[in-house]
Parts: sequence; structure tokens; C-alpha cells
Amino acid sequence: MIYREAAKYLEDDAGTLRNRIYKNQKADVKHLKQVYALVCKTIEHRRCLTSVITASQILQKERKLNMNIAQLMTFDLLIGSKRLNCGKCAEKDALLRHKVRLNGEFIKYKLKHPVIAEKQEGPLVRWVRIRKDSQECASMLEKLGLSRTDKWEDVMKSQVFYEDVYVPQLFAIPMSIKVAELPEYKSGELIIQDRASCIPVTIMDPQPGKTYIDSCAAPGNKTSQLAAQSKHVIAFERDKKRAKTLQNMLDRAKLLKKVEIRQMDFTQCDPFEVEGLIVDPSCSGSGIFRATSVTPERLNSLADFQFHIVLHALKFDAKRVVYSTCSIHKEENEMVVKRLLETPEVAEKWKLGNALPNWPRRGFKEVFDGAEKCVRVNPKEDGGIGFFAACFDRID
Amino acid sequence: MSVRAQFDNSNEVGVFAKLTNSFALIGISGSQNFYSAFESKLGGKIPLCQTTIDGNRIVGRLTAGNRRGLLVPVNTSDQELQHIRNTLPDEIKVQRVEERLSALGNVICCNDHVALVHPDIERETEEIIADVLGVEVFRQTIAGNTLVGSFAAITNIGGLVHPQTSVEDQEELSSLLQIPLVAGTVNRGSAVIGGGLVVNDYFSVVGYDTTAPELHVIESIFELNSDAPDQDVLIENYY
Repeated sequence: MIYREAAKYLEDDAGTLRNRIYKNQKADVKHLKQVYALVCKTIEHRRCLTSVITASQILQKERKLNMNIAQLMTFDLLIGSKRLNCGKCAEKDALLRHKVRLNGEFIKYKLKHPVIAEKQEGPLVRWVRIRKDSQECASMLEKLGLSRTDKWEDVMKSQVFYEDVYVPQLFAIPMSIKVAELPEYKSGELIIQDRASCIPVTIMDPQPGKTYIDSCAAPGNKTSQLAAQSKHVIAFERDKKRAKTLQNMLDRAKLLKKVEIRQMDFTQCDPFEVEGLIVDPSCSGSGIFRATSVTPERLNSLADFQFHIVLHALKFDAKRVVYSTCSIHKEENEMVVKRLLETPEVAEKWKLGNALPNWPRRGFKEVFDGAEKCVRVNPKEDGGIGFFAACFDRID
Repeated sequence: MSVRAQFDNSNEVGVFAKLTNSFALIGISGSQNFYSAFESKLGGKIPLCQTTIDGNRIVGRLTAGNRRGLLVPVNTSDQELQHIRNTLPDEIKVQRVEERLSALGNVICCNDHVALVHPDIERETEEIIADVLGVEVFRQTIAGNTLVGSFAAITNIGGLVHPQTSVEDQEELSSLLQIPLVAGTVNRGSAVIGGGLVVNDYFSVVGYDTTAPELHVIESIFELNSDAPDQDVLIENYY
């Protein structure tokens, strides 16, 4: 039964949802797609589904059901296809017995939370990075029927484009534009990249003629951004499959010559001299749309991993190290930075640099004094995913 | 329009009658006065069914229904059920409900689209309400009272609720029901709205004690004050 299978993926586990589901090679792709879509959409509406199920008290009355299966089924019954897509089984019977009640509670919830129930989660605008000078980009976007605006919020409502003031060569365009069909996209000049994930390289401010390291490179958006502005990039990626993705991405952007891909664990590599390092390790992804919820234990183990990888990066003979995550939890962000700055071997060589001073949203000062030097990006409010970045500068 | 009436000296007309857009159920009284109040306006337009439920005259409190159907408690006798079925047209489904809270009129308050029900009603009953009456069912309380059928009266046009319903609750109920609501009283200050009046989309019968201001509120929220008054009413007032 699809719901029993999908319920496994609702529980928090390591890795992204997509990887975990598609890892199952035995099942056919169509079936996996179905499971993936169901789980994704259920997660989007999870808050609504949880309160509807709790209010209707069906879990107390139906011993056969658990919260996860009930959520998946309720999603299909009330929001998705409006019917249950499975054969006769105990869970289906149990849930359908309470159809009227669930529907009533769902309508009540919608009345109380009109926005949350109706609004689909997802990006509001599309951020694209175009490797041309500003004039050329503007004329190219105008050819698509877009006019210029100076507020990114306008892009959600009308056919306009916005040139970012913080990140060079970054533009916001409406979601309605079919980017994949543009010749610039096919030639690799135009890359879809969220505004937030452009920030680490912007903080790094790469110099032409210097060498940089991207310690956790795949899928390669940041790597290509870094390579475009520097002489040479060494990209580390531990996973073989992801390294292949990275190679394809760089090949399309015609930057493969500038990048040396090392398929190995960054922490196993001996330190050497470079200009700067970008460290964007695995994180809970809580800033990303469609992220699964995360347990405190997993958060702790992630934070520990993040601490060690940045610590290793700080052993390199470099001028600047940029640490970033796409998480909004302070455990993975300010607290990791704080722990690093409290480590003696780091404190004597490195100080926290003031990253992107013009950006208004700063790190949480209450975690440690000086955290306001870090950059924070809130999901949606700042036009894309949630993000955090900190900049370590070597003490001269 | 509205009519003031009494059932054997009682002002609680909602207790002894059930009025919907497609039929009316009226308790059997000693005199025909009460029946006449309905017949004067509704006679020949919708079926009027004089009956008892399990020998009781309080048919309004024991049954629940709307344009599509009628729910009667489990102890309704076969003869009574047969009589009701014979009087009402075939389109109106009549269904017995096995519910512990057998005063269905007290625990269900419905119009043709939604039903508010007592929070402790059984799941099977909830399902029958949704099926037979073709409504969305919501478990609700009105001003802290679980007997939603007693303390509210609703039609497809408007609704009157318990006088102590807070403004927030009124707004919540109003958005749930998608009709305007007002808090008010009947029968000179009685909070038992469902007991004091019966109403459908174009007619209402209220207790004899209902004051003019109360009647005004009732007529305006249910939009019963038609522009052209009935001719015989005019003549009656004139002489």
C-alpha cells in the first residue's frame, strides 16, 4: 500500500527526501514519483493535517491508524485527489469511517488559517545568475517582455525583472518565464541559483588569478560562480554520483577547465596554501521549502559534523574561509561559529569578518557577541530559501 | 412573514413543530389553533404532517431535518414512521437514527447546507446527517452550550443565536455557516431560541410572548419582511 510505504519517508532520516525515495531501485519510476509527490505535498500541509487529525480524535478511536499514515491519507482525501488511492485495507476503512468528521475539522481549520491551508509552499520568484555584463543582461531580459523594477517583491505580481543590489549579475524574474527553453540557459550563461546561495561567493569576493577551494561542491552552483571569477578552483565532493552531477554542471557552464574535481572526503585532505575556502556542508535544510522536520539528536550530530569540517578548513593556509548553511536553526549556524571561535587554535589565527555589511538581516546577537557580523536570510521574506553565512578572516 | 402562536397555552412553538423549506411536522394538540397558524400561510404549498414521535407531542425537539430529509429518533414507532412517509413526498428521505442523544432537535441545528451538532454525537449519526441531509457537519457549541439545536435557529438566509454568544464566536459561526448571525431572544427574553420559534426561508412561527422588538430582529435577520404584505393581514389590521 502506497500510504504504508510513504509513511516510512515521513519520519526524519538522514539524507534528502528525493535521495531516500529514489534509492529504492526495485520499484518502477512511476510508482516512486507517486510516493515522492505524496510525501512532498503532505509535508507542505503538515501543520494543517496534524491539527485536523488531532481535532478529530481519530487516532484515539482507531487503533489501526498512526499519525503518519493518517496524515498521508487525510491529505489525499481532503486536499489531493479527494479519494484514497489504495485497495481495501484496515487503514482505509478506519479513515473513511471518519470522513465526515475530518472534512468538518478541515473546513474549520481553513476558516481559522486562510493563508496556510490554501497557499502552496514554494519559491515566489526565480533568481537567475547571468554571466554577462549588466547592460547585456538588461537588454536580454527586456526582450522577454520584462521591464526593470527596483523592488524584488514586484516580480511576484507583474512581468518585471529586478537586478540585485547585493549580488552582482543576479536577477529575479517571474516564475512564469520558462527558463529551461532560453538559449542562454542551454549555453550555460544563465544559471538558476537562489539569491541566498550566491551570498557565500559574494562574501569571498574572488580575485582573478587566485586559487580557491570549494569543500562540499556538488551540485556546483557555487563552484561555477567561484570559478567564473577566479583562476582555479579545487572542488571536493565525497559522493561519486554527486561528483558526476558536479562535472555535468561545470561542463555545461564551460568551466571544467578551471576546476579540478577531487572525489574524496575534504576532511581527509592535508592542508595546503590557497586564497580562500568555501564550506557549505550538509545541513538540516530547514531553510529550504519541502524540508522534512528534524529531531534535536540529528541537529546535534549535524552541528558536530559542521564544526569539524570548518575546523579542518581553518587549518589551511588561506586568507578567508566562508561557512554557510541553508538552515535556519541557530544550532547549525551561530552556535557552530561560536564553538569555533572558542577553540584556541582557531582564535589565535582567525577573526570573524563583517560579511556583506550592507545586508540588513544579521546573525542572532543573543547567541554570542559579534554574531551580528554573520549574514542571515529568511525564507520567503527575502525572496527565496533560508540561509546563513559567516566569514572567517585570518589575523595578519 | 411571521405569525405569533401558542401550542395548548405554551409559547414554546419550536418544541411542538419542525419547519423546513419543503415540509412541516406539527405535534398533535387539543385544538386546531396551532395547526391553523401554519396552514394559513403554508397550506397547499408544502406538506404539513400532524404526528407524534413515540407518542410524544414534542416533535420539534425530537427530530431534525431540512429540505432533503428528516431524521427521527430510534424509538419512533413503525406506524408513526409510516404516517410521516405517507404524508411527505418521496424525495424527502426519512431515516431513523440510533443515537444515545435521542432529542435530535436539541443536538442538531441545520439548514440546507450545513449542520451544527452536539460535540459528543456518535460518529454513525454524524455520517447519517451528512448523507441524508446532504450537509457538512461541524461539532460546535453555542455560547458554551452543547445543545446547539436549542440555542440557535438557522435558515439559508440568516441565523439567530443565544443572546450571550460572544462577538468572536458569532463571527466564527457566521464564517462556518456562511450566513449572517445575530444574538437575540424570543418569548420576552427567553434564550432558548430553537424552542421559541420555527423558521424557514420565507415563513416563521414565534411564541405568543415574543415582543415587537424581538420580532423585528427575527424578521430582519431571516429576511421575512416581504415588501408587499398579505392582503388579509392588511384588512385585519384595518378593521
